[in-house]
Amino acid sequence: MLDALLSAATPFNLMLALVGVVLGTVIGALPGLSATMAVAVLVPFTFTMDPASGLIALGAVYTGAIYGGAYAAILVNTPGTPAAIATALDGFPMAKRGDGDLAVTISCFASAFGGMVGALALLVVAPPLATIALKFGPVEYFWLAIFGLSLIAVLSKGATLKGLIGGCLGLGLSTIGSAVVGGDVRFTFGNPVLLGGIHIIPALIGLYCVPVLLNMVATDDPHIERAATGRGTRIAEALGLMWRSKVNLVRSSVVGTVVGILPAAGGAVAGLVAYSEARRTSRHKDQFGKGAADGVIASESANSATVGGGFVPTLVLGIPGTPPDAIILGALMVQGIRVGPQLFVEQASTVYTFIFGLLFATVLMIPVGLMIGRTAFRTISSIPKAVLAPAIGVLIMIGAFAVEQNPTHVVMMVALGAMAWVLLKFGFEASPIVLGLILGPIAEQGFVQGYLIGNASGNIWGEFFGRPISIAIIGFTLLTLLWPLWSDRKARATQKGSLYE
Amino acid sequence: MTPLNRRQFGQGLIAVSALSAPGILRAQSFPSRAINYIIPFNPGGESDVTARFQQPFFEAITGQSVVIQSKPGAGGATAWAQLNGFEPDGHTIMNTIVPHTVLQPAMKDVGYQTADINNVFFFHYTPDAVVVKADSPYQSLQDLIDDAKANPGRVTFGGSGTNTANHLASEIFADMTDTTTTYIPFKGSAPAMTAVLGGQIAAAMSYTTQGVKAGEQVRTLAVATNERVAALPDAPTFKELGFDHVGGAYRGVAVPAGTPGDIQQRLSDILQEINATPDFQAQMTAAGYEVIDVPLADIPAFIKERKAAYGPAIERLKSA
Amino acid sequence: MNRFLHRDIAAAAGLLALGGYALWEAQSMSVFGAIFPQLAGAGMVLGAILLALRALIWSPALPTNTGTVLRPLLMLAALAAWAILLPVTGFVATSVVGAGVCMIIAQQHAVPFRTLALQGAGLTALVLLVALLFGRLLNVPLP
Repeated sequence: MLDALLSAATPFNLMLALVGVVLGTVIGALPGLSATMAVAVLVPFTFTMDPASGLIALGAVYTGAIYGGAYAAILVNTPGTPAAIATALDGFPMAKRGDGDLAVTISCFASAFGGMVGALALLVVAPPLATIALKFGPVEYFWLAIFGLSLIAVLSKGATLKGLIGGCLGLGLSTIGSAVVGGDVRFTFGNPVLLGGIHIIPALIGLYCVPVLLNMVATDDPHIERAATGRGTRIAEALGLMWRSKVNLVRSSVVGTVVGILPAAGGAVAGLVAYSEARRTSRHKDQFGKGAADGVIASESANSATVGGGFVPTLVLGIPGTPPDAIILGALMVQGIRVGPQLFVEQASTVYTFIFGLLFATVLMIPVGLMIGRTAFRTISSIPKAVLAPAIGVLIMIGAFAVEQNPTHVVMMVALGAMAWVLLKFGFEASPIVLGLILGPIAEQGFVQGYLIGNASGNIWGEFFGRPISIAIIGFTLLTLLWPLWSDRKARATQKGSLYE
Repeated sequence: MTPLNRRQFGQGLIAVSALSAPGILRAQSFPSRAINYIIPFNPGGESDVTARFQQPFFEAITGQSVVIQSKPGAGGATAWAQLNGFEPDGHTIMNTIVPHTVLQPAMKDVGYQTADINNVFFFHYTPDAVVVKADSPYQSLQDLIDDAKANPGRVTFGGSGTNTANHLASEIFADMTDTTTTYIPFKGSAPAMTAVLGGQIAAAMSYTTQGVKAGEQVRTLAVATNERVAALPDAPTFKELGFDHVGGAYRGVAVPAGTPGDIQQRLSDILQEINATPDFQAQMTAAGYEVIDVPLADIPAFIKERKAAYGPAIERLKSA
Repeated sequence: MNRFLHRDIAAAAGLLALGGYALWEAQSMSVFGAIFPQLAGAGMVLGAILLALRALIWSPALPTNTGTVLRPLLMLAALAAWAILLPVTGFVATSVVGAGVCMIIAQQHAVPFRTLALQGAGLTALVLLVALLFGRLLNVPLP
C-alpha cells in the first residue's frame, strides 16, 4: 500500500494528475463538451504510458471534466455535460444575482469533497461495494428510473401539468430509433442517423444551450451580475456554508458513490437524486430553484463522487459504472490488463497506484478549480454579450459535432434547441424533457426485461413488487411525491397558528 | 473448405495478387495519408478493442496513422447505412459484423441491404458461448437443457437486443436442442453479463470474450468453435457435446462502394499480414477471439455460406 | 383576453397532434416495442386535454416574455444555417462567418467599427484555437 502511495507520488504521475485535471476542467467547462468525450479523445495518448500512469491521467481528466461542467451550468446556465443538470437549477440563479463567484467556489469544494469520498470508497471497500452493482436487476433500474421521473413533479413547482407533459415529450423522444426491446424501428422517418436514437449530448446542448443563447440576445440586461470588486474567491464564506450543510454534503457524496456504482445510472441521476433529497430534507425548501447554495453542494458533491464510485464495478467486476468508465475499461483491455476480482490481487500495485493518483488529482482540483473558476467567472461576467453569444455558438457547434463526428447531430441539436425555445415561450421548461429523454430508455428496458423474467418464472407481481431494493426505491418515490403535500400542510398550519398569536 | 481454415489458401493469394496489377502503382502508394477506421459501436466494446489491437500493426506496415472513430447506434446499423456515403478511396474503412449485416436488413428497414456492404476482409470471429454464473446449478450444458425441457420457457437467456446476433444464436440453440427458452434483450452484451452475475437471468447467450472477461465469476458451458478456445480450456465445444454449431460474430472491414479493386486488394493484403503477426494473434487469442482469414476473393462465397446457415433461424424470428 | 385565444390552446392542439401521431405509429409496432410510445402518446393526449380544459375554465396567467422576438429568431436562423453548412463549407470557414453573423445580431447598440473588428478578431482566434485543439491535437476529423 505504501509502495503504491509512493509510486503515485512520483513527479511524473503527479504531473500527469495535474495536467489531466487542468485539461479535464477546461474541456468540461466549455458548454457542450462532456466528460465522456474528454476521456474518449484522450485515451489514445495513454497507450504509450505504463498502465498505472495512463489510468491516473484518464482518471484525472475524468474528475476534472465532471467538475468543469459546473462552470457552464452556473455561469451560463448551459449544463453541457449531463452530470451538471442539477447544478444549473440553483447555480445559475446564484450567478444571476451576483453570487457567481461564491457558487463556483462552493462547487469546487463540494466536488473535491465528493470526489474524495468516492475515491476513498474505492480504496477501502471496493470489492464488497461492487456487489451493489449486481443487486440491481432490470426491475430495480425500472423503479430507479420511475424515482427519477418523479422528480419532475418536484422540479416543476407551480407548473406540474406542463412539467408532466414535458416528461411525456422526453419519453417520446427517447423512443426514437431502433428499439433494444422488441427490435422495432420507431419514428425515424427513414433517416439512418435517427436509427441510433437521439444522442443525449447533442440533445442536451440543444435543449439547454440554444434557448439560453437565443434569450441572451433578446434583451439588453447583462447575462449575469458583475463581480463586486475586491471580494476575492470568497473561500471563507464558501467553507462556512459547507460546514452548515455538512449533513447534506456527506449524504450527497454517499448517494453519488452508490449511484456511480450502478452501471446504467451515472452522474446526471446522481446529481438529481442528491438534489431532490437535499430539497426534501431542507428547512428552506422554497429557496431551492432560486439560488440555494445547498442545491449546488448536493449536485456537485454527488456527481464528483460518481467518479470513484464508477470505478468500483469497473475494476472489480469488469462492468463499467459510467460511460467514461466503459472507455477506460476498453483502454485497460488494450493495455492487456484483465479486470475482475483477481485484479486487486494480481495487479495490486497498478490498482492502488491508480487509486492514490485519483485521490491526488482530486486534491489538486481545489487550487486548479479555484483558479480556473475565478478566471471563468471574471471572463463571463465581463465580456459583452455580443461576444459571449457567438463564442457559445462556436462551442456548441464543435461540441455537438465532436461527439461522433457527425454533422447530422449538429442539425439535430439546433432543431431540438428551436423546439425547446418555442416550448419555453409556452411555459414548458427543458428539464422535464431531458429527464424523460435520459430515464425513458432505462425505464423501458427495465420494464420489459422485468416483465419477461417475471413471466418466465410465473410471478410478474412478485418480480416488480417483491424485491427488497425495489420496495425501498418505491418507498422513496412515494416519499418524494407525498412529502411536499404533507410539509405544505404543516407549514400552513404553523402559519395560521402564528397569525393568532 | 470451411471459412475457418483458409489461412494457407489466403497466403497463396497474396503472392498472386501482388503480380496481377493494372493499378499496381496506385496500390503501392496506398495509403497516402491517415486512415479513418470507423467503428459502429461504443469505445471499449469488442469491435473497438480488436481495432485497437490492429492499429499499431497497421501503422507499422503502412507507415500511415490509423484514426479510430466511433459512430455507434442501432447495433451498428446507423454507421453501416452511411458507409457508402464516404469517399471511396480506401482511406475510410469501416468495421462490419456478420451476422449483423445479414440479419438487420432481413428483419427491418435499416437503410442498407446486405449487398451494400463491400467487405474486403474478415479477420476474426468471436465465438458464441453459453455462460452461467459460477454458483449456477447448471454444471453442464446438459443440466441446462434438461431444465429447459422439464420447464418450457422457464430458463432465461440474456443477450444483446432483439433481432440481433445473440437473439439469432438463442434461436439456433433452441432449435438444435429442441427446447423452449425465454430470450431477454439487453442493451449490449455487457449488461446481459451483469444480469447473469447478479442472478437475474439463468444464462447469457454471449461470446467467449465475455466468458474470458468475467473470469472466475462465471462458467462457460459451451463454445461454438471447432477446437476448444485457448483462453477457456475447460469449456467444451458444442461439437463435443453433439451439436453441430460453429459460429459467432465475424468481424470484417468494409470500404465504401466504388473503391478501386486494387486498393481493396491492398487493404485485404494488409489486414492479412496483420493477422499473420504472432504478437497480434497472441493478443487476440488471450482475450478469447478466434483469428481467421477471409480475404477479398473469398468474401462472396463466405457471405453466401453464412446466409444459408442463418436462413431458417431468421425465418423463425420473422414469424415470431 | 379571450380565453379561446389563450396560448395554451395552441400548445394543446400541437400536443394532441403529436400524441395522436405517436399512438397511430405505435399500432404497427411489436407488443413490447409499442409500450412506451403508447405511454408517451397517451400522456401527451391526456396532457393536451387537461391543458385545454384548464385554459378554457381558469385561463391561467402565462409567463411574460421580455425583449424582442426578432433578434432570437434571426439568431436561430443563423444557427440553423451554420449547422447545415458545416459539412459543406468546412468547420473553420462556416464558424468564422457564423460567429460573425451572431455577433452582429447580438449587438444591442451601435458600436464603433474598432470594437466590432476587435470582437471579430477575438472570435476568429477562438474558432482557430478550437479547430487546432480538435483537428490537430485530438485527432477529431473536422469537415
